[in-house]
Formats: sequence, C-alpha cells, structure tokens
Amino acid sequence: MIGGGHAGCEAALASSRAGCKTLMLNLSVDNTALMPCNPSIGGPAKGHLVREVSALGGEQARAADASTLMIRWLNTSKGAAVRALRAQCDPGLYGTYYRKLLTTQENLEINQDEAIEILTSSGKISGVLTRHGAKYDAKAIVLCGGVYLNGRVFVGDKSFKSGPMGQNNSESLPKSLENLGIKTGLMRTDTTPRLNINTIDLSRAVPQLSEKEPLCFDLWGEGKIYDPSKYACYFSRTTEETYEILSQNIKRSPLVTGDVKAHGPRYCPSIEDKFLRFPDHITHPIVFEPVSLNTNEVYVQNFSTSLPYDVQVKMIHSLPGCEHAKIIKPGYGIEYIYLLPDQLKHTLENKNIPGFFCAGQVNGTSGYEEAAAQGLLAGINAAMYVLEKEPLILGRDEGYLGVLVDDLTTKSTDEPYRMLTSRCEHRLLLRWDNAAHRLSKYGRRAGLIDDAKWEFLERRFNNEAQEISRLKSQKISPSEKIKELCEEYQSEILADTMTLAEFLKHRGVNYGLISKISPSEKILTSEEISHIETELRYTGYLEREARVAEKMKNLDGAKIPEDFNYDDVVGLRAESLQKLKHFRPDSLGHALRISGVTPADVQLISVILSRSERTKNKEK
Amino acid sequence: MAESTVAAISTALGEGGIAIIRVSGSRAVQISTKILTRKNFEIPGKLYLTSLIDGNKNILDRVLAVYFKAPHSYTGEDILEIHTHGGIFIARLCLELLLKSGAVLAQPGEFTRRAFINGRIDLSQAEGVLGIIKAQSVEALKASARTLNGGLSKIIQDVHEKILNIQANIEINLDFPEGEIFDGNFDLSREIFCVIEELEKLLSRCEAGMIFNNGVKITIAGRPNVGKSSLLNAILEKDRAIVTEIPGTTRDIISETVLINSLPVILSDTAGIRETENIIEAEGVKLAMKAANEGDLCLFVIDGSKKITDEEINFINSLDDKAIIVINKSDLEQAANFETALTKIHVSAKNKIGLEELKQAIYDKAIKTPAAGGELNASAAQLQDIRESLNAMREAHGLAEKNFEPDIIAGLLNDARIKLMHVLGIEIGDELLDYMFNRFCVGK
Repeated sequence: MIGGGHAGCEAALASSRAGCKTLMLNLSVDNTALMPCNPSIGGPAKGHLVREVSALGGEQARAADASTLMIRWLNTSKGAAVRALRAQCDPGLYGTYYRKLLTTQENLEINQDEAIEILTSSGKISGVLTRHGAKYDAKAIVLCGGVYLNGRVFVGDKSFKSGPMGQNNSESLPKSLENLGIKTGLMRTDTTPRLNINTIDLSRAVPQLSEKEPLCFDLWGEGKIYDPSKYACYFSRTTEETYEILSQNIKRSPLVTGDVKAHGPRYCPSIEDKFLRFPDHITHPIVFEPVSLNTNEVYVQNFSTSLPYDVQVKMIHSLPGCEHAKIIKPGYGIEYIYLLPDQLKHTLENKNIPGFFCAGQVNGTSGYEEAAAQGLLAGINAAMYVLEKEPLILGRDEGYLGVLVDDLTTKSTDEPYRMLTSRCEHRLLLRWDNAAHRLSKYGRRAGLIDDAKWEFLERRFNNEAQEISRLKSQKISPSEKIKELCEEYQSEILADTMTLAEFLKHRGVNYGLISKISPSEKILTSEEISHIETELRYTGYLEREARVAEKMKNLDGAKIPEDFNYDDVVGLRAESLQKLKHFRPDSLGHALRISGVTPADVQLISVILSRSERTKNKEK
Repeated sequence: MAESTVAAISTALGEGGIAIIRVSGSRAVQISTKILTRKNFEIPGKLYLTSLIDGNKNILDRVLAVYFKAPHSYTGEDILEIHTHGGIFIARLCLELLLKSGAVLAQPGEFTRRAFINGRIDLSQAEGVLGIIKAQSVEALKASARTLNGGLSKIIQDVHEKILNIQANIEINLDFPEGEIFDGNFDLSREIFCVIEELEKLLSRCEAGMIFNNGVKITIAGRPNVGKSSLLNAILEKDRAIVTEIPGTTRDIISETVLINSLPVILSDTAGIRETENIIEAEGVKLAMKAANEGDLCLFVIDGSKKITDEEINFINSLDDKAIIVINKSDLEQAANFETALTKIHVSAKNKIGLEELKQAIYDKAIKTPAAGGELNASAAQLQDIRESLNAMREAHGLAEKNFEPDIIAGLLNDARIKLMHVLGIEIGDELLDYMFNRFCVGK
C-alpha cells in the first residue's frame, strides 16, 4: 500500500485481513488518515458510502464513531433513500483510531518511507523502490497517493511544492508512473482558513446541536448521544463587506491570473468561485465548525479560498463576529496530478499493468468517504488477485461504491468526483438501512467479517424477515381502540380490514403505531424497525426499481473477455470502435454505458461473443 | 439471459398489400392475444383468421395470425406473426398496440441476432448476421432522423428542460440539505402539472400527426334511404383491392378503408343509422349526431331529389366545420333547397358522378382540421416514449399532491425525462449535474 490516508488505511486493513502479507508505506505515520479539509464524515451519499464500508467490513464507520463530536440526521423528511448521518469528527482521534488498528493488525506492517519507483516484471507488478533505499517485492500494489503526487500549493501569487497542510509532496513517483505509460491529468481543490476560536464572537451565529437520539455509523456499533453543551457548529453568513473585498481583490486570485489551470470541484466551490460564477449572490452562508475540543481551531465551512494571505485576513475580518479573528492556518488551493480513471477495471486494477491497483484521490475523486470506500475495494481486490480468488465487482444497483467505480471507469472525470445521491439511478435500492443486506455477504466472502459479526447480522436479517411476514399476514379491523390510537398518532384512521403491512402504507402510520395496535413478540432495534418500515412502505417502488435494475444486470452479467478483439466486430461505427478499444469494457452493460456506444453496437458485440461461445462448445 | 418480448414490422415499408408484424419472446402469445379476438393458437404453424382490436375492443382490421412454438421458429423463441391488410398504416397501428400491451420495440436486426444466439442460424452465417444488424440500424437511424422533425424536437427539448428544472430543484436539496433554501416559492405539484399539460398537448398533436400513419376516421350520417350505403360502396369500388370489410361486430359498425392521395381514410356507418323501419326519424337523427361527433370528419348525406326535412336542417345547423354535406341522387331532379356555410358536394352514387370531387373535399378537409394543422410526426415508438413520460409525470403529480417523499418523486421525474431523451436520441449524461451546478450556488 502506497499511502496512509483514508484509502490507504482501508486498503491495508482489507488486504491483510483477507490473508495477504501487507506493507503500508506512509510519508508520515503521524499523519495517518489525516483530515486536511472538513473535519466531518458523512452526509447524503457520503454517509451512504461510510455505511457501505462498514457493511463490507471496513473501518471508516468505527473511526468516525470513535472521534465524533456531534452527529445529525440529514434529509429526515425527504425519503428513506436519501436519509443519512453526518458527524463532526476530531481529526486527532480519528487518525489515532486507524493508527492503533494498523499497528496491531496481523499480516500488516507499516513503515514511514516514500515509494519512489514502481517495479514491474514481464509487464506485471513486482515491487517498489523507496526513498530510504529499500526494495520490496510485491505481487500487487495499491496506490493511494491522495493529492501528494506533484502537489503544489497556491496562496494567491505565492506557490510552492507541497502536499496538503504542510506535508511533503511526492515527485519521484509521477516520473515512475509516466515511465509505466500511465496517463495523468491535473486537478485542483481548496480549503478554508482555520481560525482561533478564542478570537471569534460566536454569539452572533446560530448554533446547531447534536441529535438527542443515540446514533452511530457502524452497523455493529452502539449509538451514542453527544453532549450539546460541549460542542456545537455555528451558522453565519458572509457580509457585503466580504463581497466588496472580493470585488477589489478577485484579480489577484490564481484562478483569474491563470496560475491555476486545473478544474476545481463545482459542488464545493471556493468563495472566489462563487463570486465569479454567481455574481448576483451578495452574501453566502458559512458555518464555523470547531475542529477539536483540544486545539481551539475553527474550520470555516463554505469559505475555501486560494486568495493571497493579506486578502484572506481582510475577508475573515469582514465576517460577523470575526472583526478581531486570528488565522491559525491560512486557506490554500492545491494542484496535483491524478491518474485518469478510465484506465481502471471495475476492480480498480489498472487494465494494462496486472497487480497495479489505485484508490482514492489519485483516481480523481474527492472526499474521505469516497477514498475509504475505494481503498477498501482495491484492498480486497488486490488480495483476491494475489490469492487468485474471484474479484469483487459491485453493480450500480448494489451500492454507491458500485456507482462510483462504474462512473469513474466509464466516464472518467476532469473535476474532483464527489459522490451524490443524484448520480444513482437505483437510489431507492441503495439505502442506509439496507447496506448490510446488500453488501455484507461480500465482506464475509473476502474474510473481513468475523463469525460473531456475521451471526449478529443473520439474527438481524432473521428478525426483520419474521416481522415483515407477520405484518404482511396479520389482519386488523377497525375498532374504537384502534381509532383512538390513530388519533393519538395523528394518522389516517383505519377504515377497512387489512393487513398491518397495508395499513403501514397509510399517511401518518409508522411502526410505533403498528406495534401499539399489535405488538411483536420480539423487541426490535431501531435499525431493524427503520428497515422494516421502509421495505413495506416503499414496496411497489422497490419492486419496480428492482425490475429495471435486473435488466441492466443481465447485460452486466454478459462478460466481455479482456482479450476481446473489437476489430473482429464487422459493422461497428468508427466512433464506437475507437471508444470500445479505449475503454475495453468488461461487460455488455458496461459497453452500453460508454458515451457514444449504441444498442446496435452492443448487439453486434453480443453476436461475436456468442459465436466464440458456440465455437468453444463445439470443440468440447 | 432472460430477454424481453420484442415486436417489429417485418415487411418492407410501403403501401403493399400485406404487412407482417412479428412478436418474438416468451410472452409473444400473451401479449398478442391482448390485441386479437382469437385467444388460442392451438396448432403451431396454422394460419388463423382473427381480428385486430384496440383497447376499447373496436375491430380495426381482419387479420391472419400464426404461431410458431419455440424452438421451432425463426428466432428460436415463441413467435406470433400477425398479417395485416391495408398497407403500412394498419401495421403501424398494430405495432403500437403491441407496444402498449407490453412488447418492446425490436432493435434493428434483433430477430436475426436472437436467431443466431439461439442457434437457429449457422455459425458460418455470423458475418451475414452482423451485416443485417448494421444495415437495419443505419436504415432505422435514417428513418428516425426523418421522423424527428424540427418542430417535434424543439418542443420535446423544451419539455425536457422543464422537467430537468423541477428535478434539479428537488435533487439539489437532497444532495445539499444544509444549503440555502434555493427557491422558497417553488410549488412542486404545480410545476409538475404544467408539464403534464404540455405533454398532453404534445401527445395529442402527435396523435393527430398519426393520421397519415393511422388514417382519418369519417362517419357517414343521414336519414334512412338517402343512399349512404351506395355512397360508401361507390367510394370504395375503385379501391377495393386494399379494402377490408368487417360487418356485424360488437358495436355493429361497418368500417371500410380507402387511400385518398395516400391518406388512409376509414369510412364508417353505424347500425343505428342504417335503414331500419322501427327507428323513428328523430331517433335516427340523434344517433347520427352522436356518430358524427365521434369521427374526425362527418359526411352528412341527404337525398337531393326530396324536400329537405326540418330535422335535417336542424342537424346541418348543428354541424361544425368538420362536416361535408353530400347531396346525393344528383341524377334525379333536385328538390332540396337550403342554405349552409358548410362544403356542399353534389354526387350521384348510383351513376358515379362527383366522387372525385368528394374525395378531394375529404382530403382537403382532413389535412386542414385543427388537429392535423398542428400535426407532429412521431413514430409509434416515439409516441410510446412520450406516453410513458406522461404517465411517470402523472404519477409524480399524484405523489406531490399527497406530499410524498421527494426521493421517489425525483425518481419518477428522472424516468419521465429519460423517456424524452430517448425520443430525442440523446444519451444520458451529466446533464442533471451540469444543470444543478450551473443553476445553484451550493455549499456543504
């Protein structure tokens, strides 16, 4: 494993747990799983990924639970598909959690060193050379290089070689990648200034507190309530004065001077991006987010910038309550190279170099959650590659992780890719409450979920199935008692005889009311209840969605061999032929999703595939 | 791999006598029998005489149908072939009904591909199979380019953009729940309703545009003994070859089809207005009125040799511009004197006088009806996509009215949008995200 960030940590743990001897090379062990930007985990789509990491046997959920300062439900009234948790996390505690695991994990060694050259033999991965002069043999490498490859930091017109938050960058590895024929691109991202909380008047901002119910990310975790008197985030807005400062100084932004060429993330624009792209928005919302209980640092959400330091100071002073604020760490932009992700298979292995896997920001994504999920998948698949076992490929209907990887491999990306719920066409099937149902079998198969955890899940699945079948079979009829209960819950009144499951679909009816009318023999957990409610309330939509997904699955199941010769397919249009040769899709479904490839092209390929199949059968 | 049941017109397009519509797949019989009066095809390979019916059980054509049982068929799957008369328009109608009943439009060359996959075509013929798929997809591409004229494409793009806007307004709040409230005045249910109205309008214009494909319906009305049947026969006589007769069915309609300047015209007469001694005059006129309103056009026939009755005058006065007054029996001495602004044509059904003039009048009227004037030309498959888009929007509207969770509503909007993109021939890409991020200044 090259790199010890969010992707690297998951990859190292997954591969060693799957049974492979694993070495992690980390530029700085003290900065394991560093959070150089927002000190938070989760949110819509990102929270789904964290939960999927948990379901597959990864650690990010537990790392977040071990470092949570406050936690909230988001999208509670917008539907089960988009409901997600977000937590503010203490980066120190978060990193420490991973460090403890890494140093105690069987099969895993960590070493503070820099990989400077990737070695191959007969075109396959054979090992790495390091800065300290070591040469390690390896059948597989997972590159989790983050934003360190040729990293360059910009603060206004000042720019220098650097990784994030003052870390060293890596300049040798990019040369090695170039020699291996790997295509790279340039990307940019920014972060906000960190302020000293003691120099801000937070009384003018609106506090947002932790939920009052016990919550956690981990599937096997125990929810906790966090003391709102100890921690809060504070909502505020930029001012007209901020706008004035931006107007006067925007010309000094490296975005405007042209020093920074790469695309930044559109979904997380810097304050100068917002100024340039939405000039009629005078003020913007910001959030003061204390980074830790111990460091007095405050992260200013929605205020990332790469403007010159003196402008940053003026802008910060223009914020409400920040007239005398002191900047501890200035904001900056960072430009780095990433490996064009259309060079990857769905296993996250490079198509041209067997044994070379990539995960995280080096694949053009952004975010700790996107990185961790990829790291986990790459770690599992690197292990499966070495152990010569079946790789793990997730469908677009199986997980956000499946969508993320499929998007990267079929579309590539030229801006940092962030997971969004709107990217998932089967969103209804990919919920927080069914992550274990969708994915844990794969984690178990890879050896990442132990017996105790597996039994826990089986019990849970069992409880849910039993209760669902009870609710589907047991009928209730209108009565005075039920009417009173409905009134108490302010729900629709039961008008006819029907099953409990049918009644659950009525307005205002929830499991609480159902269990008052007809209690279950077992006491169910809130997670089980939420799953049962969703499965029953959304039944019709879920079934329809599953049918649509099934069609795509058939096409995804029709595999195209790696050595398939597209030139054999007489009749492909020139554009399609070029695209297909470039992407080398691994299935008919994958081929169909490539922009420019038509259903007719896919039909042509399927004919050739079935021809070779039949030739093979004949030979047998 | 479980494949869907597909349908397509298998004969060359044109005005030839017979067209074959082929349905292939495990549900071939199940789907086909929804649009045929015969429900059983006991003997594979046997041609059965049956009738093509629409959703309201109206008989559209007398057809032949044959069932080929898997694996003894061209594709190796269950196949049902329907042989229709009347050139391409009945075939198109038949295909449209099949698509409505659950069949999927076959890709170009798909029957051949399936035949190959199922081992019905020899390995050595594989190259030929590729050729067929390629040739047919090129042809289909050209055909769809012809079909999607500028007007239709512009309107669909417009509606697509509107759905995109509604969807983006929901999605942005799902993905950025702690951002600003982007548009507090956004009335979801109302916005969806506006699109539904536009889609309905679009659909009816496309359906009107189908008259060249599906024909224009003309009702012949008039008092008993004015010569409606002889008029009908006179119009049909010359074109007998492409005409089919379906008498005595459920609604007792006589329907006949004729091409006038390549416009398919379906002439019908109803039993209610047929000569029956028992029907008193007023009742007959009432029935005629009802029938006249059901067709696209109405031919109101009077006997020119007799004095016009008060009922007939009243009836003529109640007709709108969709009607043509046919004054029959012009070979006899004329006694019917009346004033009307409607088109009047004098004919003699018996002596075949004035028929060409009448046909021209029918043609002029048909292509000038308001519906046809705003006609949009769409194929059966495109029409089906537009319908499905509309259905998804209607469902979304129902849920929005009930304040249902937006994750599901947004999904339905997406379905509706993708159907329209399909009509436009645009691939699904990042248009939603592009729209969201261009439109909204997002935060956390």
